[in-house]
Amino acid sequence: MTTAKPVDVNGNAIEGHSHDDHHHEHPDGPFIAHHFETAEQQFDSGKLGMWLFLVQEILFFSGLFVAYIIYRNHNPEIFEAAHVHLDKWLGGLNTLVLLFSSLTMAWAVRCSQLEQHLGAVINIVITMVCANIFLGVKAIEYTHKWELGLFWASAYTYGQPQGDHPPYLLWISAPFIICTLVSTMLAIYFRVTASDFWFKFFLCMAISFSGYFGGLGIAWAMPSAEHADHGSAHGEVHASADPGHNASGENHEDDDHNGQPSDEHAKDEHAKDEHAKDEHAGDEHAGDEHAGESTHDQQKQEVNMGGFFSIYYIMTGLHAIHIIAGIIALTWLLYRVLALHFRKNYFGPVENVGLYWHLVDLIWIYLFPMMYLIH
Amino acid sequence: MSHNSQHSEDHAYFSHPMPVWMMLAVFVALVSLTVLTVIMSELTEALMIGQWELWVSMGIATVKALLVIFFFMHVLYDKSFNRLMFFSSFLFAALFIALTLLDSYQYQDDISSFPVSERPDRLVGGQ
Repeated sequence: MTTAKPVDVNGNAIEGHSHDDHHHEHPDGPFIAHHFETAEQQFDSGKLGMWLFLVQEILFFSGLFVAYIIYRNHNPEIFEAAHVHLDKWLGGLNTLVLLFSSLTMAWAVRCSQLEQHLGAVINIVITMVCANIFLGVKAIEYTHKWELGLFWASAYTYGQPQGDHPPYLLWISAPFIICTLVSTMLAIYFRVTASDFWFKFFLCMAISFSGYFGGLGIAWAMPSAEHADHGSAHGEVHASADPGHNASGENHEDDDHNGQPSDEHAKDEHAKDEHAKDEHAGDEHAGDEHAGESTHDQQKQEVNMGGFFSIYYIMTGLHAIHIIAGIIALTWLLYRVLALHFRKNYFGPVENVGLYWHLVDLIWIYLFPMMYLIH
Repeated sequence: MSHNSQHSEDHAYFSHPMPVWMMLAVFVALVSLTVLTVIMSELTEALMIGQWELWVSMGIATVKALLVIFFFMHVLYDKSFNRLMFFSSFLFAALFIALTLLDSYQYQDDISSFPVSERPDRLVGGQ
């Protein structure tokens, strides 16, 4: 993103000579391509392309929504059993973080439309910080599940004794640690060499990436276990009111040791409930009448809960990849805003990245109740 | 598209900056609805909504989605063609979901009646 144009790193001088070495400049400004009659025409074309891209995004995400809906329709009990492992407070926190980032993104669009460059920079940086906070909270959620063996179906080992696990959180944080350190060092380097533009750029990047560690801290500080009230009106999920299940909060050490036995118990109860429930439905347990078979049921349910977590990981993981792509797009915007590229008749990139960012928010708005608020 | 101007200086700018109060109001509404949906999921029993809980929470999510679409995404002020295109994607997503769901119910009885003893122990993956 930094090499394409012979850019003056101070940004100010770019207008005069960036394009006229090969073409005459468009009357509407240096960033309007010559095949567009007006800046507005270019803006509309770009926005049409962005909408088409977003339509495609919705359609491919809808495939995952179909998987979720069909799996839930045919196996509602698995979702009721599995949702206790998701912390609705962390999910709710992440929802608020994303909503706030949508606000700052919309504000960044407004600022660049009005040529308020400082405001645009501030809002874009806040949006990036929020994106990193989101990923930090998600990292805590994911790694905590992995430590308990709550993997996707083929690797699901919950309830089995967990041996030494790799330092998942360190692994998943490594890219953020590296990015923060590199950005900080570059900021210091450009400060020393008095390169004001790049100093600002990397300072903003370091601030953005540090949001990840803020997210880790917030997720750690959330007293989730106390809040977790997984009791339910449905008889068949009463087992999940067991405190062992509630330990799916964030106190790692405790529930690895204390949680397991009661979890086993809870699941056993649950399996019996399923057994009782499914019998009159003539469903899969129709054959086994005796309680001795409940270990078999339990095994089956664990595998199926792995199925839930397959859907959970693919949906939230794909969403997280979109967040990362959004951070990359926002980095590009940050560069261009600092270079003062945007003006009253040229703000399409901010607008279009904004549309993308709101769509990512939109998908999370649905994922949150679908995953975290199941009863 | 207006071609009534040659120079950007006197161009009636095509941007439509959203007023700050509107952005903040939409944000407050979104946060309130998020808090509401969490509270409702906490109070499912007290509110006696039971099985409707899913529909209530999806309804709230849809209201939130519409707020984001119309205000943050500027669809309220966008061109009708963009609007049509965007909302048509939801139509096709709905068709996709509904038809697949209908189809899956056609053979679900056969799957359920398949004797459990003949099923493989692990349907997905394996250890």
